[in-house]
Amino acid sequence: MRLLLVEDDEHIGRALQTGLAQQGHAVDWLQDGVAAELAARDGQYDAILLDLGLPRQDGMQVISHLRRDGYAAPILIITSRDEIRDRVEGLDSGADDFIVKPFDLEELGARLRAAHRRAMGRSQAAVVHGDIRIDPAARQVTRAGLAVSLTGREFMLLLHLLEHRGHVRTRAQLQESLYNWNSDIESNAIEVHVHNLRRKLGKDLIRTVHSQGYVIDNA
Amino acid sequence: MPEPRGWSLRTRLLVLLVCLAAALFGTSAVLNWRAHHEASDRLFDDSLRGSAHLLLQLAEHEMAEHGEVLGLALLQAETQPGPAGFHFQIWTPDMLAAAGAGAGSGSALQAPLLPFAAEVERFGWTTVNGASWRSYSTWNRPRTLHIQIAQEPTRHAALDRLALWRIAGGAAFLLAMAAVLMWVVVDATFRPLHRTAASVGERSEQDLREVDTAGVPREVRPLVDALNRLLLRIRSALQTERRFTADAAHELRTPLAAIRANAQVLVAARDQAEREATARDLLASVDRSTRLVEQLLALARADQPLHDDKLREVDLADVAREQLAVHRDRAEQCGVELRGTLQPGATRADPALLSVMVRNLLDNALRYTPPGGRITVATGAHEEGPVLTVEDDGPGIPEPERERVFERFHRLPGQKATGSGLGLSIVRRVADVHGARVAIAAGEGEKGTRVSVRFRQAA
Ligand SMILES: Nc1ncnc2c1ncn2[C@@H]1O[C@H](COP(=O)(O)OP(=O)(O)OP(=O)(O)O)[C@@H](O)[C@H]1O
Ligand SMILES: [Mg+2]
Repeated sequence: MRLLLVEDDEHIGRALQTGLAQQGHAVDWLQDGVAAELAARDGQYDAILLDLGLPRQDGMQVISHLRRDGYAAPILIITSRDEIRDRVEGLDSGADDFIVKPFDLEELGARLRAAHRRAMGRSQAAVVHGDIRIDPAARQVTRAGLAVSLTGREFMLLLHLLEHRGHVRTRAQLQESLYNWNSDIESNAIEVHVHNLRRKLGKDLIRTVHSQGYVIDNA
Repeated sequence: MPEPRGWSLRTRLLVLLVCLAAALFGTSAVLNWRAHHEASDRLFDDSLRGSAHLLLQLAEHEMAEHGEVLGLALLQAETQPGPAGFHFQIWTPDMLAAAGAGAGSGSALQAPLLPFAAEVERFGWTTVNGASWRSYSTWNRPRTLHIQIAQEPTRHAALDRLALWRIAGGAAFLLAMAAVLMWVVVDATFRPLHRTAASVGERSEQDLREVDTAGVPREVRPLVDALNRLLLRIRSALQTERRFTADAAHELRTPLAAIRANAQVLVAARDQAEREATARDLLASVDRSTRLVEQLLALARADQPLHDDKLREVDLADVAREQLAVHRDRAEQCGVELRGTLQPGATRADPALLSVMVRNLLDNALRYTPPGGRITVATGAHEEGPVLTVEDDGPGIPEPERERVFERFHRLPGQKATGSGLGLSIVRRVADVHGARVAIAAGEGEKGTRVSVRFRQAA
């Protein structure tokens, strides 16, 4: 998933960014509320992780501004305020989840997946396409019941294409969903990943749409 | 209930009232008895006088008939002293003269020694057979006969005693009634007080609501009001305490979250570089929570009331010099020039707390002043009292924030350097317990920060 992390605390922010990257996500990390709002508006984030006490603009304001303008991606609040009142207020203002510090990184990952799943309108944790089955939590892929080994990026790319089944994704969109700002991307990185996926899962899985991008057709 | 009950207003009031009533009833009884006594004396005297005149009449009669009063002698013989007996003697003027000359002795009664004419009648006391008898002497109208009569007052005394018992008994009964009534009235009067006391006494330690003043008498109102004011103060102190605990717990969450996240990331580290960077962050997070706990402890320590036995004669210059020495290395590392312009400034203070104060001020200056900056610690005795200032030429604290930075956990928005936000709260608290005043201003040339602490003149 491509994630926006907004956390003003240096230590937590860095740890979260690394930790979520370890789980295969591409994470952009910002430290103030105004920048966060701007980034959310023009980025393609699958979810936002948001601290509440932020410089320049409070997290709560960020949420209400984004939601007011119809921002749809899941927003998860991460905060040390743990009173019921704060939770209620946070969820009511449009947040999808409320996570209190200190938290467990695994649990945070699970909540992220759940929020994302809900946003994609799925109720099943696993994503199934023909004989391919993807378990996002375990990051496992099976084809006809046999495990297929994918790298983190390949996995994310497959999931992304499956989640947008039937819609052509441009190379730029795919790049954005896989890499955060800090990564230096090889110009043919997406092609390499697609090539690998075809090799591992069958060459008909991903269709190239000439001069546009790639798509996985509905089964 | 505490063991020594103290004195009871109710008991005291009751005892005083009963004593007062006893005194009043007693006085009234005595007066009553005196009046009765006088009345009964008068009655007794009247009857004595009546008897005397009756006897005189009889004697006149005898004299007129027989020339002497023999019959009366018989009468005298018959009326031997008994329960209501009396003695009497009847004299003619010549006999009296004789008696006056010393004759007539042997008689129980003495003849009047005064000239006859002087007294017409006279009451008195005389001794008969060793007992005190009431006597009466008088003349008949033509002054031809004189009578002396005496009666034993035994019956009289018995009557008096009876009256005395009655009066005393009545008084005692009334007193008892009055005491009971007073007890009832006093008890009823004190009931609202008991109600108030009970309503306070039954409370749990959590219940710091105001005591209801409805139905509290005006005299007790100041006490209840004072109690309510105290409760209000306790409430707000407790609230501050609670807020502080909540804040502290809240503030601890952030470094703890950092520790936990870093530890998890460390476990799943993908390469050596990631492992090292995460371990460094983990250490920094641990240091940060340690710092927070230390600052919390320092604040708690500074929050305690200052005891006299901790106070010493302290020279601010000495405290500053010591802290300057401690921070010299760090200043060098930060690339900041650290200077002291130290003049003696004596005050009475707790040296340990003063050190904590200066340390926090220096720590701020070092933390927030960028490399190449300059920090000056100055002490000296001003006219109003000794002063300590710590000045830097760093970013400064904007005017509207200069009060707020003293609040617990308050940090300037967007502050990059780590910190717990307690340093200046500690400084203010230390100043407060010493009666000193802290103020933040801009440094020289409207640049940087100058924190000055003005102490009171050492008395
Ligand atoms: N000398 C200074 N220059 C600029 N800003 C300062 C200075 N001293 C304090 N501040 C600001 O005031 C805030 C409160 O300071 P305070 O010392 O109370 O807390 P802290 O330094 O953040 O934490 P700590 O409890 O670790 O000292 C700081 O966060 C900082 O923003
Ligand atoms: Mg400080």
